[in-house]
Order: sequence, then structure tokens, then C-alpha cells
Amino acid sequence: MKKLISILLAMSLFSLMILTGCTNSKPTSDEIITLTMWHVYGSQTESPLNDAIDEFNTTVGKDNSIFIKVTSVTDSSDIDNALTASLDEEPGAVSLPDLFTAYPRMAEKFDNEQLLNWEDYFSDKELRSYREDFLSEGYFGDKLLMLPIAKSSELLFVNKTLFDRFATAKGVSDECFSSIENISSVANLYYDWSDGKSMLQINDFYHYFLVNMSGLDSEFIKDGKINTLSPAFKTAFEPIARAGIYGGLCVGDGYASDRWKTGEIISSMGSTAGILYMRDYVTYDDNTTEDIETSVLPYPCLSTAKSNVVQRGGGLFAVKSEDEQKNEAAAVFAKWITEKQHNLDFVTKAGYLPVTDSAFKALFENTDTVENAKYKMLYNAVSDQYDNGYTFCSLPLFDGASDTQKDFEKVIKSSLFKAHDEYVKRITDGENKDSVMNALIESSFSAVCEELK
Amino acid sequence: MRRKLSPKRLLRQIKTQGTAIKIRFIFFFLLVLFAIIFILFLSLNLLGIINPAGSQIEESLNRELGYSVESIYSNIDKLAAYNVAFSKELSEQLADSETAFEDLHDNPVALTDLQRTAYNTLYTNMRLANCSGAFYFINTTVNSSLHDSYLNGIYLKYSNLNSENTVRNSVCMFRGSPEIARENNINLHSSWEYEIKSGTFPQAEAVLNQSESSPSKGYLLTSVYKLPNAWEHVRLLCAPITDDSGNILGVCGFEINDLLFQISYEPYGNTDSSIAYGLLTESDGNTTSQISRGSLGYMTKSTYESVKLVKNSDLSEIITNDDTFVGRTREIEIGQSTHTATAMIPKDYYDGYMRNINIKSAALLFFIALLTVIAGIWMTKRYIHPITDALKQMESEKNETIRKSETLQNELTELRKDNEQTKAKLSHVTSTAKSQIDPDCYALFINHLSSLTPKEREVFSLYVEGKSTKEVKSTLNIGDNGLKYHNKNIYSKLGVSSKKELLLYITIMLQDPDSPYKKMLSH
Repeated sequence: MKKLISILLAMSLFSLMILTGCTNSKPTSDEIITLTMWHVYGSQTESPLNDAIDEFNTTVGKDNSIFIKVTSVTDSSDIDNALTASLDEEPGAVSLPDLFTAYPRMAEKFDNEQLLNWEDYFSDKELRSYREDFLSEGYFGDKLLMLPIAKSSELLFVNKTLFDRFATAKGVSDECFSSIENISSVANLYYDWSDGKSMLQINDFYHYFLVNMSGLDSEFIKDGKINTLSPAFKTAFEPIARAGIYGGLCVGDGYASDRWKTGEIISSMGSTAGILYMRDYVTYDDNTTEDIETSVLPYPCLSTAKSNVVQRGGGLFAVKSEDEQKNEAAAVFAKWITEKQHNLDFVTKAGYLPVTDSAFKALFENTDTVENAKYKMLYNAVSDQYDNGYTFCSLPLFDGASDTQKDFEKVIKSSLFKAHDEYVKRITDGENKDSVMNALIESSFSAVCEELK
Repeated sequence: MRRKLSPKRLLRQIKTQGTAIKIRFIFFFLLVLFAIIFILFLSLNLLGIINPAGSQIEESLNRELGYSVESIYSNIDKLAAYNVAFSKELSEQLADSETAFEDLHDNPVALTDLQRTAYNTLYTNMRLANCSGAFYFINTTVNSSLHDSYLNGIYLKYSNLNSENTVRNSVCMFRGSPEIARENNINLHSSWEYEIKSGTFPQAEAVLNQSESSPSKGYLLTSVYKLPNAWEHVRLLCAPITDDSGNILGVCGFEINDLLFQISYEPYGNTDSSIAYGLLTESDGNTTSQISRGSLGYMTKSTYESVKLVKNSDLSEIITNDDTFVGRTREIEIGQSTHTATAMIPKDYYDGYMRNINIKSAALLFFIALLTVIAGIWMTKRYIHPITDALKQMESEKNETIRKSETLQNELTELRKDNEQTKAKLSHVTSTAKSQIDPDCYALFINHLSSLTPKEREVFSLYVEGKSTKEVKSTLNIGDNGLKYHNKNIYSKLGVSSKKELLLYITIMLQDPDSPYKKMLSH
């Protein structure tokens, strides 16, 4: 009898276990950890990171009940503004996302404890697998707040089809892209030939001055300010001012990729990731289009400066949550997206550089693994920069770096834009071109220095 | 023989055993009754006769569908109101244009001028309305010599939409003149093109040819379209732009992209966070859908370009290439267009939920049945066994008594029989003895009984009782000599010469009803 009762009780316990849900059932929706994310990889076009996130969500994410929900894909400037508004709790601001990509400059906007220290979720061995120069950018004090998931450098993109047309007509060659001084001269030639179109747009003047002043053994940022007193500052300013004032260099607002679309510029100095937006055709005012060929060349520097190029690209930040599961989920995703093959798949579709030593080596040992010819050309250009002694410069971090960079872009562009208008006016009025140019270079330089004080 | 415990016997037992056992049996029967009712209830539940499994989900779906339909109507109504105003403004601008509509054709300068005028109207309405973009296009182009046909106009979008609040969002140009974008300091969308290619938004284009020209009656909400070379899916709320005569010259409206749909129609989630809203639209034999999900996970997409809707009387099935849902649906009219609103959950969640309910119900049933068996065994052991054992014992005792009684009766019968035989024998022996003895000697014997001493009388009585010599000695605790002494005196006083003669007279004496010895004993 006792045996029978024991069996019956065991069966009751089992059925009670089923009733209370101690079974290996599918997770309910309440158990799924959803992480919202804002990122910059893809903007409004097809997004390689969104594709990667879809893959994560349907594989590792699903197995670990993690769902990455992308709620904004836009440019870094918009993300910076939205984050700042959220942090300042401005009216109409939205809640901070769980994950976001941004440049290191955004870290200073957050309190020290607001962001996740990735070091708490990665082993030493895991951290050692990242490229040291990429990883070191993410440290703020002793905390690793920004994890590299994709880095970029800068290059020169040329609309080869239109340039060749111009080069043939004017007898110039692509040798002009070897230095800024040469480009400046040829750009002004192009301006005249194209009836007032700019040849070049520099996406970040801040980067241009940083690498060239560094190449002239000078500091661009000194005591948290733009070092306008350095002679190197004027050396770097002169060729771009000459092209900007004349018109060969575009000093208007907006991205180079916009003007690339319409043929308003035919070359651009900017991020490797810009290739995603440098389309293979140009649309003209009558809505006709022309297919173009793109060439990608190393970043041009001053002929007197050592070859330097900026190492750029933000990283992944996670807003620290009180729910430890969310923090762990963020780390699961961060490890997945930086795992060698996933990282290579993602970055090579977006024009970025992989972030681990093994992935970096695998890519540059054999760029033939990149299927898209245009992207392959891009990685070959990056490889050339590594092979030809380019030094990679990180952006200096200091209090107010973000605002300083924004102000600098604004000041350079607005000064040169005004000077260009004045130049056109004075030349139309019959003044001597060279003397007006020299005068305007001096006056605009003084204006820039004055505004950046 | 074992007897069954019949209710009649139990009741009789209860009557005789008192209140305690009554309470025990009331408790026992209540327990059994409860178990039966519970099992019956569960069985009915499982069979779906009462409170069918999944009814809670269906109630949630009904409720959420109600919310979503109400919300969609409310939002679209406001959007349509802006759209009507927007259409009227653009109609006025076209009417006020220095260039006649017919002269806009292949006229880039005039079309750019028109865009310059319309931009502010478009931008303002976009900022006011809850939308992800705004557009207008008119039935003309800058270049009709191109292989494909195009429609001229402006299509603006928010470039960083992440909430319903669009105050902080920057605007970019998806379609339109880059000159206008530059003038207004906005960027071009990554997938920017100069004009809207014909066939990109077929339902929006169809407005150009519809008979209803009043924007307040002729508006409609299109199917879902994937934006060319972008990752977004959108649907457009469209209203006609007309001239003074009511001829439709163009279409204007607002864009609702998949992200805005998700933000605007997020399920309440207070019942089940796996519930999602969907707005399905059938066009040219293909059904598209925008989905707004709660906080749940694994719906692989937020928009589906090809959906199959299987309507059932209870829950409809919404089948896509990637996911399958079950849910409640309701047809809704938005202007000239018909859509199906749905509140739904992923089918695997629903199946999992139902499976869990069924497993739990079966487990509960099994659990109750087991408990009932265990309770029955325990109750039987605790209460019934003592009673039946007691009854069995009582029964056994009674049987034993009856058996003993019967044995005694038999023995008595036997004894009676023996007695009668003995009596007959005695009577015969007595009559034989009487015939052998001298009546005077017997008279002497009887008469002299009174002369015996008390001790001699004790010995004599023991002989009368039939005791042997040994038993007499033991009873009186005397030896052989003592007995011989008393025997000699008895013989002498009663006139007998031996023990045999003495026993003969005693036998005759006992058969004699008038025997003075009997009288002596009775006294």
C-alpha cells in the first residue's frame, strides 16, 4: 500500500509540476529582452547593420530571447542631437535608446555611471582580440564605454567619368590628386571649365586640419582650443582657402554625397563609409541620368606634410540598465557583431574596417574576398595607405570637443563662402584676380582666427 | 462467510455508532461529490462546452482590435483633415501660378518655381500632421522624352524619425529639385531621385484618374510600398489636387512609414504583450500589411509585402512568407479605400498557449483524479476499514455465539436423549433391583438414614452423587482407613453388607419420588 501511495504521490507531483509551468516551454513574450537601438550604418538606404541585426534576431538573439529593435537609422549629427535632447530632458525629447552608435565625443555628455562599462562583460582574452588602436579610443578614464564595431578612415572619391572628360579637355591627369596644393589648382581650373561647378568637397575640415598640422609636426588642438597661432594652421588653410574662395572647392553645407548625386562635385574627401552613398550615376536638372565610374584614392595631404589620415568611426555605447539582463543582452549582441565573420560580413558591405585583429588581417591579406568591385577598390586604397606609411590619427578628446568641431566646420565654411561671394563680385567688377584672391585669403584667415579664439 | 457492507447496514451502523461516524461519512461523501463536480467541470471545459480554452486570448484580441480600429480611425481622420486643407492650398497655388498647367510640361524652370512656392505649404503640413513624410506630385514632368514616365513634385521625409513627436526631426528630400533642397538647407535622401517614377505608387497614381475629385471625399489610403532603394515601407494617404473646374491635376498627401505605424499604433499590451496590430490592404490581388507589435520579439518583419488572409468564423489566419498569425479582423473604410484591421498574435505563440492550456488541464484532471484516488484510499483506510473490521468482528463474534449455542443445543439434545435412555435404563435397573431386594431391608435402610453422623452423611452424599472412592477421599481429605471406618459404620447403621449393596439401595432411593433423602436434600 505504501508503495502504491508513493507512486501516486510522485505522479501527483509531476502533474503539479506541469501545472505550475516547470516545463521546457517556449519563452513568453514577457521574457524577451528588447533592446532599442539608434545607429548610423546605412542611413535611409539599405542598411548593412539592419541586415546583420535581422540575422542576429533570428539566430543567436532568438536562442537567447534577445530582440534588437532598431528605432532610428540616421546620421551621426542627428543621433548626437537626439541624445543631447534626451539627456537634457528637453520638451519633446524621446527616451534614450538602450544601444546607440556615436563618436567618442558623445561620451562626455553622459554622466560616468550612465553608460555601460563593456569591460565588465568581456574577458581579457576577448578584449585582446580587438585592434588595440581601435579599442583604446573607447576608454574614458578606466572605463571602456565605447566598443568598436566598425571603424573607418578617410579617402578621396573621384567621379572618374566626369573627371576624365575634364582632364581630357584641359590636359590634366589624376596626378593632381597627389597633394592638396595640386588639387586646389586643378579644382579652380575645373570651376572655370564646368561653368561654375566645384570639383571637390571636403566633408570634415576639422579632420583635414588635424592630419595636416600633425604632418607638419604641429598640434591642431592646444589647451582645448584650435591652435590658430601655429604657422602650420595657416599652411593648411592657404590651399583650401584658395580653392574655396575661387569656387573649385565646395564650401556649402550638406554632405558631399548629395552633390555627388547631381554632379555638382566630382570628388570628395571623406569617410570610407561614404562609398555607401556614392552612387554609380549622376542625375541632372532635366532628370536625365549618366552612369559613372568611381575611383578611390588615398587621402591627399599637403605636399610639405607627412602623410597622415584620420582614424574615425564611432563605436557602440550601451545605456546602463538597472535590469542586469539588459546589460548582459547588450554584451551578447556586441560580441556577436564583432565576431570575425559577422563583423567582416557587416563592415565590408558598408565600407568600414573590421575591428578585431583576425578580421582585419583576413581582409587586408586578401581583398579579393570582397565581391563588390567598387568596395574592393576602396579596401585596396586603404591598404595602400597602410603600405605607404600613412599615420593614423585619432580625434583628440577634450572638454567641449563636440561643440568645437561643429563650430570649426561652421566657421571655415561660412568664412570661405562669404569670401567666395566677395571674390565673384569683385572679379565681376573687374578687379585683379590674384590680388583679390590674396587679399581675401588674408582677410578670411584673420576672420577664422578671430572667430576661433 | 464474508458479508458485503451494504448502505443499509452502514446506516444501521451509523445509527448504532453515534455522531462521530456520521460526521466522518458526511465529510467523505462531500469529498466524493466535490471530486465528481470538479471532474465534470474540467471535462466540460476541455470539451469547450463552458469557458473554452483560449477564450481569454480571443477576448484580448477583440478588445485590442477595438482599440486599434478606434485609434486608426481617429488618426487617419485628423490626417485626412490636414490632407484636405493641404490639397486646397496646392490647388490655389496652381491656380495662382503664372504658368498655365499645360505649359508646365517639359518646363524645368516653371516646375522648379512651382516647387519653390509649394515647398513651404508641404513643409508646414508635414510638420503639423502626424506623418513620416509629405508629398505632392502633378501630372507632368520636366522631361517627357525619357524612356520611363515621371511625375513632378516634391516628396519630403523625416530623416531620423524615432517618435510620434517630429518637432526635432530633420527633413530630407526624397523626390524633388535639388535646387529647392539646397535653398531650404535640407539634405537629399540617400535614395533621392529628381521625380517620382510612374508605377512606384500605383494606387496614388490612380487618384489622378478617379471620378471623385473632391479631396474630402476622394481621399484614400494606399497599400504598402517599399521605397525604391531604401529599407522603408510606406503607405500614402492621398487626396486629389484639382483646378477650378474640378479636374484632377495631381495628388498630395502624407506618408505613414512602418516605423511611424509601429509608434502610432503600439498595442496597449496590458493584456498580452504578444498582440500586434496589422493593417492589411488588398490591391491587384496582392495583400500588403503594416504591423505594429508590442514589446514582444520574434516577428521577423514590421511590414509584409505579400500576405494571405484566411478568414474563419472564430480566428482568422494571417499568413506571410516569414510568419503566420492568428487574430480577429474587421473591415474598415478609409475614404475610397477598404482595409482590414487586425489584432493578432504569432501562431506559434497561440499554439504554444493552447498546448500549455491543454497540457495543464489534462495535468489538472489527472492530478485531481490521483488526489481523489489517494483520498479514497486514505479515507478507506482511516474510516471504512475500522468500521468494516468492527462489523466483521461483531459478525464473527455473533457467529461464534450462534455456533456455540447450536453446539450446546445439540449437546443438550444429546444429553436429553442420553438422559432419557439412562432414565429408561435406570428404571429398568431399578425395577430389576427392586425385584431382587427385600422390601423390609430397603425400609430399614431408608429409616436409618437419619441415624448417620454428619461425617457419615457427607460420605453417603458423595456416594449418592456418584463419586468414586478416590474422589470421596480427595473431597473429604481423608485416608483409606478413615473411609473404611466411615463405610463400616454406614453399612452397619443402614443394614448393608457391601458397597455394591449400598449403591444398589442408593439407586433405588434416587428413583423413588417419595424418598426421604430427596426431602432431606430439599430442606
